[in-house]
Amino acid sequence: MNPSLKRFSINAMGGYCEFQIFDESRINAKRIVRQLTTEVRRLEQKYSRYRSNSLVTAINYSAGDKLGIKIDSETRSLFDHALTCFEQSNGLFDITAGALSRIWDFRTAQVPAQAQIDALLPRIGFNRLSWRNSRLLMPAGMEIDFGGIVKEYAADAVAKLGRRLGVNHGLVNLGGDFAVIGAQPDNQPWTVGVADPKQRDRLMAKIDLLYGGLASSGDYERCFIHKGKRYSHIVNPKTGWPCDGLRAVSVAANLCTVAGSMATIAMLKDEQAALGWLQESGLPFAAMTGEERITGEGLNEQQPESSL
Amino acid sequence: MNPKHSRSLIALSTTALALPGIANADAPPTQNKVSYKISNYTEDDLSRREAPFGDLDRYDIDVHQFQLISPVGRNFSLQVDANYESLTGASPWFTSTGLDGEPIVSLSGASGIRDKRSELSVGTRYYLINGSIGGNIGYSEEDDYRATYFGLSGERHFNDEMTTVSLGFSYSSDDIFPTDAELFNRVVSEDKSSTSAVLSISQVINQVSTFQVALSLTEQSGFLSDPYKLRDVRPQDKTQIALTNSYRRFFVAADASLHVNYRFYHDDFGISSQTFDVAWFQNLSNSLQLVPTVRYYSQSAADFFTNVDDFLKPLSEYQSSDYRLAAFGAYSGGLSLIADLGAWTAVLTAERYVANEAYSAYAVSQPSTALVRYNRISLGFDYSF
Repeated sequence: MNPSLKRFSINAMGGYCEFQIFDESRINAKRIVRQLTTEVRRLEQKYSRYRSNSLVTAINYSAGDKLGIKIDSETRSLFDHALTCFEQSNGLFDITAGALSRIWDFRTAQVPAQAQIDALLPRIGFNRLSWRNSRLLMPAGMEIDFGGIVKEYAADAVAKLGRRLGVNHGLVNLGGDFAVIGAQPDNQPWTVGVADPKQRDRLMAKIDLLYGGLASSGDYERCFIHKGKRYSHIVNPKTGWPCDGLRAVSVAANLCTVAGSMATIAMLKDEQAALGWLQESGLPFAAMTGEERITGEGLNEQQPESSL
Repeated sequence: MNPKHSRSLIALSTTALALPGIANADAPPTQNKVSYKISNYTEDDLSRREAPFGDLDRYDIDVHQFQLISPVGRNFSLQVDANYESLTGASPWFTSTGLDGEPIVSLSGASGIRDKRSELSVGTRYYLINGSIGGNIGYSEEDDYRATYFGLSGERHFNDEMTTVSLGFSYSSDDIFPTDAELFNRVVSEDKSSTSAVLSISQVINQVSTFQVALSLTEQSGFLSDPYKLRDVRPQDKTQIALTNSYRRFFVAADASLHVNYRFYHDDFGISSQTFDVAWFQNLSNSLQLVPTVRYYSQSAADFFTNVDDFLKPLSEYQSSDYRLAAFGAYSGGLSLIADLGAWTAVLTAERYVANEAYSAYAVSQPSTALVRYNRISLGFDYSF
């Protein structure tokens, strides 16, 4: 490996994040990484569901408020993209389904009663959001969850910032969501390993990235087995029950945000529909089916290594 | 990737590409930065051969520069610059002929000049999709000089940020009111204005090199003479044109970057000049960078340059013995050491400059006796937070 490749890691957005930079000027690499980190932290602080002072918490707190809440242009753009996800998935990918994750708690591994689910379903529906100029009006009890969008967007935004700061060759990894700042020197692609959902320290496939990004969605550790049945953390907002299509999917696209939306939608679809839909997109992808068969398009055919 | 993309993919890409962090939008700085730099500029004293009488001390200038760059909201940045200079020494007052007919120079005032200059400028920049626009206003004051200026500039990226075109415009209005005007029969109060426009295009050639070309046009009018010289009569208008070319290339194996600049300049006083400079930014470690620089400069003389003031010439005829209007050449060499100390960066620079008519690439019919040689040393700190 070229000696001028520098790697920096941080913990952010609920996971391990890494910046790999072939720095033109080493002295600037650390400074650049500091600025990239600042951007990651900014987005984390703004869109985390788990921070009491985040914008998303404020948005969720405003549910039922007749005056609504003022939304800045960046967040409005994320809502616009979430609307596209909602439309393109026929309502399967719905950021207003945040309330469901409260009853499907994968740490307690409890299957909620149908009555609990039925009580929440009326609080879900992207089409029930309304806008008055820049103010968002959300019905009472609704909860927004930007999962599947914000971390991917952050990877793209950080990669873009890296380019703007003069990095020509680099890769951003935010907890498994990758965005290319620039190909490796000599125009070599970055080979990204996709983790096996059954065993995190194993790879199920490798995908080469020259530009754009790669995002994954899947069960990974966040699922539980109850009475012999596997329950995924990915919940269908229409039924309120976890999906039982693909186990995991990774998609490469022109942007990590697009890859993340594609991967999330694929997880929500029935297995056959998901695979057909991914193939139709023409994007490289790797997927593990319910029967634990690995399939995909445009994969790096070298033998996967045993570790990430 | 497959050119036959699905409708879903096109729809998702459309809204994703509109996200502000992804759209080809310029971003303001993400951190506050405070910089301070102190520089000392010392001209070599004249020799007794060059100035047989009077003072030999030339300028000694201390410069303090302070800068603050701060993000304001998501789309704006604010920049404040404050400079303070203190100057002692003397500048050429008049030139005459020595016993053997050689030109000699007399410096101003036995006690020399003591002056200070204060300057404040405030600017802002708005970052938008594919570019940015900015403006600044400034004010500079000395005992005998006052300048008020403003500038506007815009920059736009094309071709997936591979090409950047920028345009700038600036205007300065200056007032000159020489000290001891009545005592030395100097002008009491004069003014001049300067208008400048610059167009620059930079192009990313490949992953390791970029090229930039800039064309600037400046029009000055008003009192352009030196009020402190016994006899200095210059035209009331001056048009300047300059073309600058810059090439940057990074060498992966050497872990270093080469910067080469060439500038051609011409004005209607008759001066043409060329500047060629080379800098090598060598990374030494994760936190140290060494930058040797070499520069060569040469200019032709102004049409009305004389190395011996002619006090018999009518005042309506142009003449000046200002060494900056003579034909000469100059070499300078410098060395900078840049250290990255976390949130701090320190830069230490030393430079030696020597001007001489013998170095000139242009014909020298009248060599100036007052060409400068100087040392410049500076120490600067940046702090980001």
